[in-house]
Amino acid sequence: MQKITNFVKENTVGFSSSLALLLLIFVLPSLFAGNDTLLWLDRFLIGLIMVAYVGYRFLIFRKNNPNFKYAESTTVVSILGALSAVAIGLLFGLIIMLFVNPSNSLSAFFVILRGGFNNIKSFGNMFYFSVPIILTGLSVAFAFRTGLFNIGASGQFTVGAFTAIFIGVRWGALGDISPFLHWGIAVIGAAIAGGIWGAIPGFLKAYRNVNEVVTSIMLNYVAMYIVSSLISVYVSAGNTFSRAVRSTAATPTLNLDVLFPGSSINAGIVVALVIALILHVVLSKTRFGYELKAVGYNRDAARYAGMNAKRLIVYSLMISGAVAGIGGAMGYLILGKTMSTAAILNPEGFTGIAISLLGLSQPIGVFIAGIFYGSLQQGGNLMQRYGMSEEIISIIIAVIIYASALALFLQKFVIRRLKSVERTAEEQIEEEKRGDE
Amino acid sequence: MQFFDILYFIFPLIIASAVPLAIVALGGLYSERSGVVNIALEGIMIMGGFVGVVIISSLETSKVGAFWIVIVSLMLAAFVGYVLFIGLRYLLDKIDKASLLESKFAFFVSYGVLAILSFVLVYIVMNNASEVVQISMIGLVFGALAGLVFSLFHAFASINMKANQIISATALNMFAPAITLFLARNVVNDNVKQISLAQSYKIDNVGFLADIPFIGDLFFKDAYLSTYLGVAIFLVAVIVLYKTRFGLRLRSCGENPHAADSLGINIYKIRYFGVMVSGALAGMGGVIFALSFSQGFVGTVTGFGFLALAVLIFGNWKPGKIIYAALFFATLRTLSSTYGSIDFLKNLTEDSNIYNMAPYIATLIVLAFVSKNSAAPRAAGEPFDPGKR
Repeated sequence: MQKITNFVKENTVGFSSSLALLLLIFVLPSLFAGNDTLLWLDRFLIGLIMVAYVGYRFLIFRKNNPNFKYAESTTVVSILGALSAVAIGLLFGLIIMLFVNPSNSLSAFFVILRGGFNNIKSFGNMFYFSVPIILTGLSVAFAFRTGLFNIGASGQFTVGAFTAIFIGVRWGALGDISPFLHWGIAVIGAAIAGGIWGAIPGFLKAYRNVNEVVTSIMLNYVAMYIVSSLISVYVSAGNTFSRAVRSTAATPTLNLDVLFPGSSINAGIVVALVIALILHVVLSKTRFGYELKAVGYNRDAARYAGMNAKRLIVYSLMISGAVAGIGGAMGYLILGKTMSTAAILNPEGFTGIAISLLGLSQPIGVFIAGIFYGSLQQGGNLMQRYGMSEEIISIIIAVIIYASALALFLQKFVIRRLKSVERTAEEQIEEEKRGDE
Repeated sequence: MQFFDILYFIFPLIIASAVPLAIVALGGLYSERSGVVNIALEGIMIMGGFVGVVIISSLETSKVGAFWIVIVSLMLAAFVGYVLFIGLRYLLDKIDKASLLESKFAFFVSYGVLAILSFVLVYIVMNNASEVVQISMIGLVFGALAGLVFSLFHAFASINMKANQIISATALNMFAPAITLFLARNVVNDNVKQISLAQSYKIDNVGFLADIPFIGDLFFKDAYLSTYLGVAIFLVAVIVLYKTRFGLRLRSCGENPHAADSLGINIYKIRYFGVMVSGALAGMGGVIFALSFSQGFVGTVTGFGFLALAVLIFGNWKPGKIIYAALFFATLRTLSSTYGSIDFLKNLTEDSNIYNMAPYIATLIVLAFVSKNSAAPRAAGEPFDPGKR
């Protein structure tokens, strides 16, 4: 209890600004609805508070660490490494566009760069499209932090999506009690289904020592075919698509659509943020998370230290699968959205790998990287006006993953640049001192 | 349908899907045995298929010129010559005269002579072959070349840069469909994603062999060129991997690269070779897929590359077992699309998805129960770091 009160006291600024944000985002817009000026003021305040808070944290950090050297901090170096991977990807996209359609390429490129910031609708849609990607990214990142490579997020996403649709379509009775209950049960069902699907490679890895990459690739296809059958048996709309969920099971919008009119934004982004925060706390603040990471670093050492390594591996992939399953629920608990029976793997799982890498496998980083992806996708949609085809975005993403696979190389490059920058800064200071003397 | 009707109907289909599966899986075998996990097979297949189809469709409209035949013959001759050279060395080794080929000079002379010989041979064969054979051969060779070049990205990341091999392969898997669809839309066609082929590339009957009763009907009528190529590739794979010094080195790189390194073997070179062969074979597999299944380029190989990976694992990383696994998976795959015309299976289940997922479930079960006897290369997936030990 003492700890908690201390924590609150130390972070008064953080708590008050997040309270203000909650008020500004979820409560005030519904009162302002229809009044454009007030809504813009509201958005401006939200942005201001966020920027101010980040600046405040930065200043505090500088005050506490006066001798901080950027080139020696792994966080700074890896963030800059990820950013340079992004830059390489964007540059490659620009080159391809220049090659194919030189006259429109620059304007199209700037539309991509602006992405979700092109207009208020695309800003809302940026969040909407990033939700499933953030969740699959979190799923991959969580497993990755515990030393496992979950390439099966696609399958877990698929079974989660099917379960959510099944509950959303067939269990209408829940909706009569309360829409929130219906939605909640659908999400939980999706999490359980995804968790079970993720636990299978976990079991095989822990008890039969089978590589989880191979098993989860196989399970991706099994999930795809099973779900395709199940859709046509249980929730078929008579053609090759499922029915869409009932309105009671659709993800609530929490007034976010007032703040971003015209966009499809819903509470999914809040769910994604909450899960990112939970995973962050679990991984870096709890004993359970510590054990998971320990098993990831060295399974034998962890067992020697008294941890149940096998069970922890299963838990890790189970949680990872559950998060991907929730991603499936968020992707399909939407009015009018249907699932196809076509035999195509859900691409969200693979994009999740990219986002997880880009977010440096840190839950908060994955959240930001996911929003960046949403922004890219919005840019990609708008770019088609300039006669550029949508594949550009996938090309950019693929190049970004490839570049981040070369992370070591990029980081070395970043370190060298940072060191030379810092050295020149120091030399300048020394010269100034000499000049003063 | 009677039993023989079913057999004549189904057997060519099974072979048609078993061959690309086996070829791509054998490609994966080279790569994994050298110590690099290659789950980019799917993407490489798409890349190879795209290049192959673009060239084939351009050859369909214009006549196959002597230029193409010479180019392809040269490429094939370089390869066939090398295979012959390995055979020669193997023979000399048997009579304890292998030292004759030790010097660089002897290598160049013998290889040169064999390559020129095989060029003449290949050129004559290619020139006299029917147009179907010519075109599909050109497509297959260029598809293989495209796959080889594309796989270099994976090799560079996972060998030189010591990157995570799964990640770099995933990048390739995402890149291939995007870039090929993009190019198909913007460069080859005008805003159309697909490139379709006008004619079918089946060989009606293979000379006198087609007249043999039963066997001729099964193997030498309405077959694809790739079937016979697949047999050749399998034989070469077995010989190279198990009967040559090079194969032993390649396998040792996948098992214990540090031990191999201490014996003076260049791990990087061998791993590059492994990945490049897997790229070439996967690219070729992509062209075979395009010729026999999609009748053109459609931007996907419907998970064939991953299925080939399953074949590789189901075959326990051994060429012989890979063939059985490929036949087994191909049978299930064929049943999924043809069960409607076979009464006995139609009564069993109406759902083609069951057959489609059976190969994957079978692989999972095999993995779960025989993992103790798995022959998976021990160092596969680990970047080689000479300073680690």
